[in-house]
Amino acid sequence: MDESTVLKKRIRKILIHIFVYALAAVLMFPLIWMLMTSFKPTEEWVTYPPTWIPKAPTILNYYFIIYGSPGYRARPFPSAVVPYLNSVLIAGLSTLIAVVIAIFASYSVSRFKTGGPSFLISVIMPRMFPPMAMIIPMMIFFRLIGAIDTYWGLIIVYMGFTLPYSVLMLKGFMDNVPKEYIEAGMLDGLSDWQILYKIYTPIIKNGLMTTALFLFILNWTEYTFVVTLASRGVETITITLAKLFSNEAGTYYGPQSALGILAAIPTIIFGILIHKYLAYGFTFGSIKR
Amino acid sequence: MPHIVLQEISKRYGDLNVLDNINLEIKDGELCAIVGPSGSGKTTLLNIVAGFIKPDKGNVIVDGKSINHLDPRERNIGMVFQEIGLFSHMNVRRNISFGLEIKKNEKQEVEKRVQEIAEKLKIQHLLDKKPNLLSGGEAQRVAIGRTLITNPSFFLLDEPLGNLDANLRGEMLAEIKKLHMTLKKTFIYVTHDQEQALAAADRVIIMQDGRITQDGPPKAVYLNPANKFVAEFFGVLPMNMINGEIVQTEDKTLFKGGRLTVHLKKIKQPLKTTQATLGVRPENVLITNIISEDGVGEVTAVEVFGDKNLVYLDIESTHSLVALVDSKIRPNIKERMKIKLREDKTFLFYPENGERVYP
Amino acid sequence: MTNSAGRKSLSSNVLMILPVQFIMLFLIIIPTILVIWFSVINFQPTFGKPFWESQFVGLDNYAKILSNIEFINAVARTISVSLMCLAVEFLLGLVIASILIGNIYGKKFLFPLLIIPLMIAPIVIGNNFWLMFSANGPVNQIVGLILNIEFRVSWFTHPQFALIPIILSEIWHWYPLTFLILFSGFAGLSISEIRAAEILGASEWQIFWRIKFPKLKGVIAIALVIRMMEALKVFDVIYLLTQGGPGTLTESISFYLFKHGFTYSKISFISAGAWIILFICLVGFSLALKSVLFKER
Repeated sequence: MDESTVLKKRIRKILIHIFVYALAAVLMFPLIWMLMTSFKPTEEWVTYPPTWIPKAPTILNYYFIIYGSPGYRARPFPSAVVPYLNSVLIAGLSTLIAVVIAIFASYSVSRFKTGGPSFLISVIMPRMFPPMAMIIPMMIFFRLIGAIDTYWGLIIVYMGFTLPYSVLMLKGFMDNVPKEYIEAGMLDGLSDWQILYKIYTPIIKNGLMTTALFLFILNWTEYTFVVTLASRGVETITITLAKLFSNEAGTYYGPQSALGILAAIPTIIFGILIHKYLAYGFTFGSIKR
Repeated sequence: MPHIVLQEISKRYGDLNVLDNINLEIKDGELCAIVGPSGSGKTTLLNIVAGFIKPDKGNVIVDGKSINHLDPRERNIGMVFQEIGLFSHMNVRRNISFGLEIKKNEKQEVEKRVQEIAEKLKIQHLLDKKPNLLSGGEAQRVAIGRTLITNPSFFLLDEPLGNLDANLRGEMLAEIKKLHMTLKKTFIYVTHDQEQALAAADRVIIMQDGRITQDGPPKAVYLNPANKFVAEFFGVLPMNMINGEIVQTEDKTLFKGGRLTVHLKKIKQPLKTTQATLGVRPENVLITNIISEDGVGEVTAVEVFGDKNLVYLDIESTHSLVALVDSKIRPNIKERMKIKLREDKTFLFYPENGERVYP
Repeated sequence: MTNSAGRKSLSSNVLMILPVQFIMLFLIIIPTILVIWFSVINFQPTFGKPFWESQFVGLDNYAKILSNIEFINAVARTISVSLMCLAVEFLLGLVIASILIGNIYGKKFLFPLLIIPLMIAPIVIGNNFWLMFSANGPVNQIVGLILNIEFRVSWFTHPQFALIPIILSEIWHWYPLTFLILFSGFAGLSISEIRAAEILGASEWQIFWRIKFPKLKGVIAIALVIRMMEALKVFDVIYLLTQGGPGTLTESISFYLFKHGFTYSKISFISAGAWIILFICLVGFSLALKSVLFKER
């Protein structure tokens, strides 16, 4: 009796491992394909049957991304370094400022219920509105105030559209700060600002990191607003990527995949840096531990 | 055949030897208390018996068969957790009925059992409440009720009184004891509180740094501690510990510490060192104006202790000597009293490792 | 206004929400007012007239768009596709989270790997899926190998199959979100309760359904709401992969609005459409959000 149950359990364990690794392999397939393509020379981009591992791997695609390509296949495209840095600046800054502003607002709502339900609803409604319909009015409005094609215009737009999530998420985390800690702070005579700084912030570190990552991803990958509100003055990598795709001479699959890989790196690095916070941060505070 | 046998149980975490070759035989129906400070390994041991932790080495044997390979759910054990762990999203009734509901018993059967248990534990009025509305004591009863419904073969209790107010502990402990006597099943009770162990257990096992230091009935452990640690661990009042020296004469052994010169029976075995610590419980320190065999002390304080008095005596040692005396004895401060220690209740320990030298 | 400490403090809490209010106002309210305005006038830039000179037409645009079969189709299609994606993402996230929460060798390595799709820009995903599902691509190759036939479907122009790469790309992009949310939900559960259930004899399955899952209901609700809100706005992949085609068979709400707004310049038309969408969303989500916004302590 001993032996067979032990064996059964072991088999079950092995099967689960096989399953999850197989699943992971399937899920990683698109990534691997992208990676392979980024190292393929032009001839191998769209062969039939498709080549899984490049027969003549090259880093030319990456080279073009960084240094631009002069007259490659009829239309040149410039280096993607500047757009890349633009993306870093814009996504980074708008995430940072949005999170900071959201901390105050969500603290106020969480602790004092400021503004009641209507404030929260007004914060979340913009997220429900189809952005497409907002584009034209925003373009008109921006042109009026001279914010078109500016860094700060874009940053403010990004902030505006990520604030709903950050306020909601952070509020959730703040709701879970144990009352005893707050009361202890009040007894010590701390002001509301100090309570936020000294008591809340350390406790919601997880949630803060998670929120920041989420916002960063949204900002980093955003396309619709930047292409309509800033494409001539400020180019981010999403625009560069789109350009590579729609380039008339035929899509530049290789450089595109290369840029795709490079574009994924900042978010992945951010994710790895904060990965221990991630696992516990994604409950929006509704689980009490 | 003993009910539960722990055979050479060992467990390490990294460099730390949490359990070191534990061997234990527990008789059927015993209420066995495992005591020790935190870090002694007692909770780990309990979790190994429950099946939540696998030992690196050793066997857990129940009724002659090893249960090492069984999951906790297959072991038919009732367990009460330190954090209680009531299902917070279910009311009391469903918490209690859980054990049977998962076995798909008939609804009426289950309801009947729940009622029985609720009556026994006097929690019928709580059945429809949610755990967050219960007091510590009520929650603890529900936790116990929850374990009873599956009729487990034995019970594990991990600090069951930890979440209770001090004044409720006595009452709750009495109820646990009563439960044990009614069920006549083996209870393994882990606690760091020596009072609980002495009051309720048939047998006390002391653990220190992953090893068993002493094992025996409460009286034995109290009156005959195996080492300094055990001696200090037990007792409502701390045991007096006086540092000093052993002096051997031809027919006697003397202990000199502070103003005391205690006369003891001759120690026959060779001494590792002459440095020793003398241990004696306050109730075994006699003070009187008539006999003076072991020394003299100056009264520094007198306190009321229940129906007795505590007298603090300065004997020119690092600590005062404390004596538990009849309430009629109320010396004045600075009065000099003669001290006699009950020789058969006096112990000597090596200061280094606490090993007992005498008796 | 007094705060919870009883002191009269006009402002610290009101001050704190001001920046958010200000930005939302500046950014959202003004364009919103413009959109309302546009929706009740006859504004089409190709007519040459600026919007403040356009004619007032009342609810005409609303009527027009509601009677437009392609709009209705786009809405229905987007809602059903979103629900489908949501279901699969949820299932996938649940399966992976429940497995990875246990003792799996290589967990530390699998975990970040499985999250990566969330971090990749939709444009990149579009490009990638374009390649994978192209007539000469690996997907066709694999399907052909499995079915043992020559399989060279042109996915993006296929009337029945065109939605599939879109759905798959959305699922691939977003499953890490449900995975993360459920995983941290599981990780945060009280271990005493789980052990208590175990020792009472519950199987893994029973523990999951009776203990873990019920406790995560709140979290799951938020995840589903957020994800649904985003799913309804799907645009990038459709624009890249099918352009709404073949015909209008893969048009999503956003794509429809884009096409009519940008390509045909029917600004007023789509402004009305946007409000209808918002109305639908509000009705749909207000019920779900109510329980999420103000959970009892």
